[in-house]
Amino acid sequence: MRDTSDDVLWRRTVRGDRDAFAEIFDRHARRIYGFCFRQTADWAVAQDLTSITFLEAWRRRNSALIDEGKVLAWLFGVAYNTVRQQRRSLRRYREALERLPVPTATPDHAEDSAARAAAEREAAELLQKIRRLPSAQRAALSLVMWEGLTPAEVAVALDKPEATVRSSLHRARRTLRTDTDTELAPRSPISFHEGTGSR
Amino acid sequence: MSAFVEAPVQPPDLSEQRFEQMRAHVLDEVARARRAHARLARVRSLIMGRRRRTLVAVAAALAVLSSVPAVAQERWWWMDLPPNATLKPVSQVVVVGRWKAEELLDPRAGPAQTAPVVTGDVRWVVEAFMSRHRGLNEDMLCLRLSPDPPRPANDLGAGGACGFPVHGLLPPGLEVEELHWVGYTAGIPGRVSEGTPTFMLGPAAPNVQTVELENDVDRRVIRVPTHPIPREVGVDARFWIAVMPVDQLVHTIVPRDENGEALERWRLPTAQ
Repeated sequence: MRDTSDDVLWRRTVRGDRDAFAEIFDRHARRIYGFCFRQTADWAVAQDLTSITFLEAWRRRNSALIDEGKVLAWLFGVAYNTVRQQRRSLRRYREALERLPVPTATPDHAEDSAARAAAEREAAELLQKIRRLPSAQRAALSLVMWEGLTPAEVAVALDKPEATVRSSLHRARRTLRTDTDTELAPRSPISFHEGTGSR
Repeated sequence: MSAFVEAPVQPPDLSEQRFEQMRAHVLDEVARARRAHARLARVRSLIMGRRRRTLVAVAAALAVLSSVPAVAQERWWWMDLPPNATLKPVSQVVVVGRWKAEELLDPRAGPAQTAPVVTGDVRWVVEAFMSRHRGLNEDMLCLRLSPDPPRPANDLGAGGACGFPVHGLLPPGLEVEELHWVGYTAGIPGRVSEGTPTFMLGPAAPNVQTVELENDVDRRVIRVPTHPIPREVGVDARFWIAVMPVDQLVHTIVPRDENGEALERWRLPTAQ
């Protein structure tokens, strides 16, 4: 099954083939986990949201219309919505998550914990820097810069026209560039800058 | 672009063991969902009436609902069920509405083309009752729609559905993937070829006041009120019904409470 394309696997998944879905999980779960972590800066929550993303993908398999070659992009979209509605997602799948085994300690547990804490701190700092961006811009930027998606794939993930995605990316970059230029200036809502043009 | 955006943070490693745990968990949950879905499908397929795919729709015209519901003891339709049928009313069969399809259309929404089979001189009657499925110890709410008076089997059929996955309505013995604030069933009563459903209807939790049926493509919305199910049936619930224009598809159902707050946005597995 390793040579089978995502599209074929997804078609099998739609027909209820659990093995095909397992292969999709094997291929993409780590990337989805990376996305969830970079959006939440929380290792444990990212794992839960990764599981939820795939459970949501399974639940929505019959209604999703996925273009050829866009399965991963669509999964990122499911992950994005899962993260965006994090509290609701966690509540909805609370019982299922309770069945997920708690991570077990390893011999180098202390080292792992330190590395984990450092990564979480770094991710939190990064999130803080882009927090001012509207949700759609933040998502578009994250998917392009950190997950390596093309604007066309981001359009699939966010269910928006590609032109809108490109516009969001442009605005996000412009805002962040301005932030860097005026790092010491008092922070204002982004709408203030855009509404008045007082850069 | 500033440097901090260019360099992604690397997430903490997922060990092979942890990855396998997550994988097994997801696949177990998928299997669990499949089992639950199969159980629910079995129950919901207990569709009454002469034609399985002619199903559905229950209703109540606003004017009719204001009248005292009548007990439908004169309609011993379940006597027609095959000998091995497992669906039998265990409560009063209560008429919750009689109406013509035209009476359910919202005049503010403008002219709508509906299937001729549901309009004209045909009146429809909706009944609600509790039934007990073989193998279950709990009763479940059923809704049934039929032409009034009954027609020959090859003309206008009757239909209904039971076991809706709605908060407070689903028997504890049934497991489902998730519960919703409304249930729905959709179908085409009668001799109609492939097409969109002519009716959609279903029960609603007591706090649901309106139900919106959204078409995600053209953004058209059908908005209908909910109505109480009489106490005689034995449940605390409401129900809703909509007559569907022939060119209207429904992708999402949005139940709203008395404050107009959306309780959920239920994306349907397949457009109705």
